[in-house]
Amino acid sequence: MLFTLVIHAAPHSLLGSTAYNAYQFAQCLLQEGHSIHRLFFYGEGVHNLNAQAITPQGEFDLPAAWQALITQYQLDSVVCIAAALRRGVLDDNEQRRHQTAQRALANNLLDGSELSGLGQLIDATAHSDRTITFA
Amino acid sequence: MTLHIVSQNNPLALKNCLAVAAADDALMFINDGVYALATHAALAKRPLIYALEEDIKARGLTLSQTVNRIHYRQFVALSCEYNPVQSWY
Amino acid sequence: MEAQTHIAQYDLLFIFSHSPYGSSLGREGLEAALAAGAFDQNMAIIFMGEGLWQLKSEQDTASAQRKNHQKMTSALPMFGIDALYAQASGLDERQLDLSDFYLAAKPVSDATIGVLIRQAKQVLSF
Repeated sequence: MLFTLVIHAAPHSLLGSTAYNAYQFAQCLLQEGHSIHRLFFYGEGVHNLNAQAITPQGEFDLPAAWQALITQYQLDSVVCIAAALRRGVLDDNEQRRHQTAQRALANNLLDGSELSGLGQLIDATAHSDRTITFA
Repeated sequence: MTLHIVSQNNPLALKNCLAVAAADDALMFINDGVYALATHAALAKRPLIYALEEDIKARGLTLSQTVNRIHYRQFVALSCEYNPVQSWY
Repeated sequence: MEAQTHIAQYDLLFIFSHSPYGSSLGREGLEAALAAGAFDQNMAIIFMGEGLWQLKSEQDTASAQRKNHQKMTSALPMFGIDALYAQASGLDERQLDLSDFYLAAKPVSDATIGVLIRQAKQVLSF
């Protein structure tokens, strides 16, 4: 069965985080032989792919785990560009576009994911058997 | 039939969920949603109540025997069996 | 149980159950719905619980320095999104009625909302 997962939760947030649930659910469904049409990171969920988040030693490194899963299964992983820019998650293009002499910016989107628009979310719901929101 | 996921211990979210869930819909409690099961005894009497074992254990909870404690494999299976899947939080 | 044949079926159903300014959910849900409208989806939006506050008229955000949710939401019909439902029980609980809204929404019972959800192909919740 073909899944799209919409991830609203950040690894560390005010509410108890379902970002870990989303990751484990994704990992499990792939192991069970199902497929992921798209991971769509929206809202606070963009923090899951922030390469500048440093996880203390001995703790589960969720951003690194997402990146490894995305690479291993060649997943289509999209981060909402508007949500990401507001929260300081930038790819190479956006970093260059918004950087100024007064404002140094990092290119901090983890490799393997791309910034794109909400059309990618709508398209994903239309082409998946199941769309599941984790928030 | 719908699979309702309750992922936060938010009384307003739970209220919305219970208001619209039909008797043959399944309810899946994850993350802090499992606290709702621990504190609303009547909830566990409803049929088709599932909760994520990993999240119950993490919080040190003992839940009613009528709650189906399941792992991710069965959570994935439930989400294949039911359609659509709606999250309350 | 109501007769399911009289309740519309949608490919994509949005459930808005959070208030407009308390978190980013109201805004981000609305942006997703507008995107779906632009893609010409067979879609509807259900406003329920705290989400009903999104439709409250007379939102004036100038002094709060927030982007006005009412102005953005008013664009829904222009994007071809006119299937808007409001949870009747939630209206009563908040002492709201349809005349408090700036957009026309159809009041529906909780049972009808349950049927709208189960008949939908996909649901996005904000």
